[in-house]
Amino acid sequence: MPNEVWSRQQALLIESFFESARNFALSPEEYLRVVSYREKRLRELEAKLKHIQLPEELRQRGRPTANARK
Amino acid sequence: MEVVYAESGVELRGKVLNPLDKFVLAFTRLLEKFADYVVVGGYVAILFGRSRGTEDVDVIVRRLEASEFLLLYNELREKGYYFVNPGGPSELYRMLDGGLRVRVAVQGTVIPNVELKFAECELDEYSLDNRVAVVFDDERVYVPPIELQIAYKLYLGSEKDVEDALYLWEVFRELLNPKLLHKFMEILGVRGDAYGIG
Repeated sequence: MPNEVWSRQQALLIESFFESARNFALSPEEYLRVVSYREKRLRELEAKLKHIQLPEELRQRGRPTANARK
Repeated sequence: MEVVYAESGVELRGKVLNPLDKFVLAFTRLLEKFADYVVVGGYVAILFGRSRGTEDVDVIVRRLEASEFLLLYNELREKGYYFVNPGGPSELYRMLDGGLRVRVAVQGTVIPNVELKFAECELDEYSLDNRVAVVFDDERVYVPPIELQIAYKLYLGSEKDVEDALYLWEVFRELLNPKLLHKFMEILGVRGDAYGIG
């Protein structure tokens, strides 16, 4: 399948997804409750990353971007 | 859609913009006036063509001061967005500052939404310092180095995350820095060989 056709079909799939989201049945409060379990799991996984110190070779790769120079 | 690696980043030629792309572009256009950012998570795989939807778009932002966040908050409100989490700017800033995420959506909707978090570890800072511009349709969006994104998806480890990692690996396998990928997998304590990655 040509790439452009593939990309167009992906767009159609996501348009359908958006269409169904217009009829989303949950209020913001209900939605936050639904996703809270996933958020908790993510927080637990990310907490383990807080103490990682990158090796010097990776630290030197950093190129501070505009906001960092502010 | 053709993926082209250029000095300035990754160019996507012939990409048909979908509504999620338009949502992300509209949001990041506002966000980048206030902070460095990278889009992470499932949207990265979708951006490069994976056929799946997502309810939320994860975004890491370089830490802002409370006064800077207030400017961003006001701009978003003025442009038709709202914060899905309850509370005013002070409460929302306290959540972000405390390592929590806050969600932003277009007024009157819940999904899709952007899940914002402040950079809080060296890997987040690395993502921002080494972010990759993905250019398409005269627009750009920033993502972390793909090597880190693959390793991170393996670290998260759900079926969906591993498939995203595999998808990115298949799209970029000829373009990636294998040493960098292995270094990130080592740092995150994950292996890719069971999936043919690396």
